[in-house]
Amino acid sequence: MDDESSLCEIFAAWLTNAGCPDVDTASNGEEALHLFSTRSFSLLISDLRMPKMDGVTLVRKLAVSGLQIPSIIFVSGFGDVDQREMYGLGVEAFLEKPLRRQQFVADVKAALSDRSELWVVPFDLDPEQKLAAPVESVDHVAAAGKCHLGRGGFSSPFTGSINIGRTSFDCFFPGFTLHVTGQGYVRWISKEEGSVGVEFAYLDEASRSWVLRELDVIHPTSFIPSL
Amino acid sequence: MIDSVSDYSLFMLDPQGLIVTWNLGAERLKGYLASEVIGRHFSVFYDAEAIKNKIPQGELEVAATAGRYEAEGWRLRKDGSSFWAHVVITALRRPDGALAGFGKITQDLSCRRLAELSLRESDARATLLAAELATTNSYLRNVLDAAGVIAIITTDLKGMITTFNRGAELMLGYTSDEVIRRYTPALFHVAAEVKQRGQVLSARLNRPIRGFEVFTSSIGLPEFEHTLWQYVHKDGHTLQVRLSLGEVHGADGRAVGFLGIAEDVTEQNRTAQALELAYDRVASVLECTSDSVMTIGHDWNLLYGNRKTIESLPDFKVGASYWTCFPGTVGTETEQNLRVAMNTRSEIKFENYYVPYAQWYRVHAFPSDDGLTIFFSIITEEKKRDEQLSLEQLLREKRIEALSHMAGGLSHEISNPLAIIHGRASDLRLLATTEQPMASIDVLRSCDSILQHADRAIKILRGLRGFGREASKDPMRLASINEIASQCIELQGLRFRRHNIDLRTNLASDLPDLACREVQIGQIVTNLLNNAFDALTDAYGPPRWICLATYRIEDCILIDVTDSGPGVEDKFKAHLMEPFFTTKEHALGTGIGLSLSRAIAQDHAGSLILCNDTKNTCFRLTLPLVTRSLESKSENANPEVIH
Repeated sequence: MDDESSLCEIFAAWLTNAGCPDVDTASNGEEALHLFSTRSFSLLISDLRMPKMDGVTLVRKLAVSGLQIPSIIFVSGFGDVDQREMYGLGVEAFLEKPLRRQQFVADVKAALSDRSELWVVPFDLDPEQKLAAPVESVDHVAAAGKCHLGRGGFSSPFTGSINIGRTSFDCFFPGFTLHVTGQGYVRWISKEEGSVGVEFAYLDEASRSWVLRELDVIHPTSFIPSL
Repeated sequence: MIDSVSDYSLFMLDPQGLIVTWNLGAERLKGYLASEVIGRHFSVFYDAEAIKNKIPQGELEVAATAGRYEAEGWRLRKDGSSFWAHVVITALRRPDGALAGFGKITQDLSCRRLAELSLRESDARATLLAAELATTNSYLRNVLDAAGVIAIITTDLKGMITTFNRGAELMLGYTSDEVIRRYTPALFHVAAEVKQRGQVLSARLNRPIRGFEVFTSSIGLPEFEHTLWQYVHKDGHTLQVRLSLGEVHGADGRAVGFLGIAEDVTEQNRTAQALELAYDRVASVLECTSDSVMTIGHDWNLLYGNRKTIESLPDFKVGASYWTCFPGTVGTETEQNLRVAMNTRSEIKFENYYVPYAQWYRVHAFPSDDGLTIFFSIITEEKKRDEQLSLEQLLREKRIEALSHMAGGLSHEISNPLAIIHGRASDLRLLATTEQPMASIDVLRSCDSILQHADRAIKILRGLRGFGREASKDPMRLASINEIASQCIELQGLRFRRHNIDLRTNLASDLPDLACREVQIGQIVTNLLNNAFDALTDAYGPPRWICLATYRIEDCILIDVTDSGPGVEDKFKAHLMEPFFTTKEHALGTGIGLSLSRAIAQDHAGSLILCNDTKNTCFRLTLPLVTRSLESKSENANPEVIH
């Protein structure tokens, strides 16, 4: 979805060539919303700014529409968007224009792939920072009464020092007595609330099997819950 | 007079009876030298029995109460011998009535030769003396307070010294023995000075005056009443004295001699000279300082103004009131400030603009003994520079603000064409590397798309150019207003469309090129479009449109930016063009602001107004076709530099 028809055309051609047989285009959020009401989609690739209805508004409307929500990839020339909210609403990647065909196709494939194929390969180098949620956060999260595991990562109370980027992590989740350990990307940090959002990149085997099982039970719409 | 009749002992006492002056007669009569007796109590002339009975004090008490005491009795000489004396003690009073001391005249009646002189005559002399002393009261006071500093010298009619008191001895280093019977002015005067004064007097009196007559002839001439003279001390050093001269008259009214009272003013003069020198120096410093200095009295009258003050303030007039000279300050902050400084005796610094002179002043007022001393300098140029600087700075800040405001949109505007170019090019590349035959129609389509979007990116960058740099010094050059308008629309258009604002254009097709600073005009149009945009996003519901129109009326090109927004509230209209004025809440303020836009328009000899006669909000930029175009046309030859 892009108001730039040439871009829609180019991306559609790329996707078709990459083996996606069924690609629809729309030039703004209103058109897209209409398409969503007529059929289901596995993936939405959307521009952020468009006339009539922009990408953010579309995602917000989808979240309250009761419609099936696909994986969403945002494509933008400028990232002036609340990423925490968008990850929470199901957006799983933000791509910047102009984008390379190969990378674009790889990202799309990742978004469409089976979860069991994910989070298997660790980073070549161990990340320099490590996120270890405080033990008492277990109670804190349990008290909140809601799982903060998302389709593609998790959010956690955290007040230590950490930067956006790669990290290893070691966290507790309610209902799981073991540590969940692995590697990922810190996607957002909320200093005011003392929380962070992390996207999974790799999980050790025990953690991975627990997470996959848990996801099958709870079916979260959030990619990373906004907490 | 005091010594002129050496048969009389004539001296003065302080209120306690201590001897403060001593004359020749007293010396002869009583045998004491002045140096031996001055400072002692006059009871030394009385025998033990009289002292025991407190006779001396009693006599003074009578004199003090009645004004005068007169008696005959035995008195003692220095050598212990006694004589029958006739004594008159006269109380001397200051003008305020306080007792200053006593004059005492003692006559030896044991000497039969003097018996003929009547008591009445001596009485008359005493009265005369008292009167004279009273007239020179200030000197008397000095005599009484510090007899050692006052020299009292009397002469006979020819200038022969007859009295030389203790003060004179101390002052000049001679004993009275050494000088009495010698002639003045030869002894301790400077000949050249006497000669020079003589010449002045000769001219004044129209007859040759020299020698002793220089002194005697000046008596009675007011301008010579207290003249300064050089005295030469016995050891050779000179001192300066203020000399008062008077005639001494005998009982028959004839002049019998002269009295001179000299006060050493060397120190005083040195101090005064030093003060004067210091003052001169200060004055000369004040005169050549680049600051203006003026002094205002407590009554606000102008007391002093240095050269610079007089040059810079044509209305400055010594003696006149500050408020009369500078009526433009009345009721202003300047008046407040000066009054505070004067009333609270505190220093104050301020800057003020004096309307009648159209100048800025930096003022530093200090309280002084006279009232206020004010240092000030003209800082108009400085102010202008500051204003210029702050205007430039404001422009720069506004440009940066506008730039950052647009950055998001811009990066989107540019990334779209780039994404398309990138996508098309990678498709072409893929086509070229696959075995599939290339349909030339596809290649052409891709290439056209690439060119079209590259052109679009270039156009956006052109429109951007204005925001990145200072344009106020650009040369005026011929440019198409429609071209400028199109660039602005290209830059803003997508943003407007995305907010569902209908951006309409109505550009007259036959407009001639206009000499202007392209970038600045672009800044104004962008600013107007941004304002319209903000007006519309604030407003709810359709219709939401902005219309940019260009047209020509006579020798002007007009650019109207009209929007369908709610309009400018009447109360804001008057302030709309003021710097920093905004009706926008969170300093949404984009672009360079209306006040700067108007300044730019005026710099182009044009105008920027909010139209009154249109249904919708319409800002109208008017630019004259004929302006400073020719002078800068030659600069068109320069290759364009893109920053």
